[in-house]
Amino acid sequence: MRIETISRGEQVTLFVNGKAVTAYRGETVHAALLAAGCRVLRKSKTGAESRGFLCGMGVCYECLVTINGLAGQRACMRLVEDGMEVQIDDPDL
Amino acid sequence: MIRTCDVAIVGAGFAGLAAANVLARKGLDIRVFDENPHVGGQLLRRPGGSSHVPGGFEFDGIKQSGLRLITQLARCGVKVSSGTQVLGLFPGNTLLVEGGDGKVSEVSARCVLCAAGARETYLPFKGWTLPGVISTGSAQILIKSSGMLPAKETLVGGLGPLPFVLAREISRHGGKVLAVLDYAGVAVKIGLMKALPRSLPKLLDGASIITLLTLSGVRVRPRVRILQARGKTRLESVVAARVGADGQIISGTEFSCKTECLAVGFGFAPNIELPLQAGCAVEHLPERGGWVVRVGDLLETSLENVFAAGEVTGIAGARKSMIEGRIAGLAILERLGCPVPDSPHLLQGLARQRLEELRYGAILNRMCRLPSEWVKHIPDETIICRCEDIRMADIRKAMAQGFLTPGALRKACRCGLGNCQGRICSPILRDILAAETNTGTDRISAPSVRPPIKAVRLGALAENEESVT
Repeated sequence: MRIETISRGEQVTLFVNGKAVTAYRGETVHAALLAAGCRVLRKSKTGAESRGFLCGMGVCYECLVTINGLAGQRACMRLVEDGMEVQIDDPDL
Repeated sequence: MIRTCDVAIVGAGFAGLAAANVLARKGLDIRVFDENPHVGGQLLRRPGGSSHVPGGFEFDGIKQSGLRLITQLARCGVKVSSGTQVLGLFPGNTLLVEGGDGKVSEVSARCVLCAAGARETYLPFKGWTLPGVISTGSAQILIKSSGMLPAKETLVGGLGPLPFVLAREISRHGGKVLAVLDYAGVAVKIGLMKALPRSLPKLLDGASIITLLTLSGVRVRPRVRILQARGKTRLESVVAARVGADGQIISGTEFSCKTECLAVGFGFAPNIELPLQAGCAVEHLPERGGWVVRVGDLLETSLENVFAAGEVTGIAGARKSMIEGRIAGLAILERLGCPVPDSPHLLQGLARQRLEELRYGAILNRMCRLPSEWVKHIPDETIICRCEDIRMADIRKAMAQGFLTPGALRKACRCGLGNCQGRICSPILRDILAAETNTGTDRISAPSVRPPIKAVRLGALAENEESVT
């Protein structure tokens, strides 16, 4: 949920599992995903559970997503770029 | 080809920035590496790396000092390599570094300063792996770096001051805080703070936060422990209960709260992986937040020309980190043969300030200490190692078979062998081992760390090998 009173960078478009999502320069990928309603980012190792981000600072590796074809990227450590393609593993998407 | 430089600084938070400022403009070749997209560490996070740090008024003005460090450093022409991971430190002071472009290279420095900061620690409960359960720091980062609230309505809980600071930040930005579930009690915090001779600014900051929270209608519930996060594929509700003064759950006091986001914080652990992997001596000091890098008065580790500053030598907040960065900077200048004329006088003053901050840190760490009872109430199905899906039952089973050290448990059930390399579960595991074997956490050995200390593409490592040979 974006805070209205905070000024934002230039508008960019991400493609999350092929679907266009609006974000703003300066935002991290995990924040942009959250704003788009994507809390579930992947399955846990055994596939038993859904996972989303936890620490937001690159420590826990829970927010791993595929960015521009490269798997295992920490969404919290990457800033959004225009045209960036993000793949997440959310069964509801 | 191995590049060389005079000083390599790992981490561009308060400690790294302060050291770099001392070392700048002395004709030295300084490299600063930081993993985050922007300089400033956790406290100085700001939207798009702008020059303004969002946050309310503070009595001790620490963020303003930090911002000055960033602007001064830029003026001195010292460039920070952001988005860069340091993967290991090897004999000859050679760092293995993965740049923002994903390429791995080696940098050899005459002196290395490790200022890698700290991370949050966790008290696991049933369902804490559900999407929507996040750390308090993580929620702060969303607000500060991306101008985003973690949810429309957030439940906040844990130990120490961070849950309160976060609750204030959320409500200040128009978000709703359902409640603050404090494992301890507010009175405990004030009682601890009173022990400080110069705690007034911090006490005032704390008091103003609690007052403003109360005024904005946020309910603070002391002595409450979170028992369970519920939901199918994401968080839907949280179950908690009251605890007695001894930390024991009071039966019959359970209650539940609907929420899509729970932010929890239980304190901090120093990021000692790099010095540990390099072979620096570490020590267990509860008043400094657990396992820390052992340093002398000039912040040199047990390895010659390897220094450590900031949270890695003990959790005590940004001011201590800044002071230590300055001390390490002066010490490195002396080592490299270009000391500042009034260095001994400066170091004397800094040493005094450092002691004061360490005293504050001891109180902070005591606030975040969990009653040893907590481990006994972890249900079997609770996940401990999130990377490998290892549950409390797996750990209890392995312990019953005689695997009673972190290393043995790692081999027995893979706890700590995943992507985060045990950063999240190893502090928890040490508490579990200490409680189950009836020993102090100081008797549980420090975790072993092997390079690369951060996940890296094998291809990137191989490409570096080819370019070296």
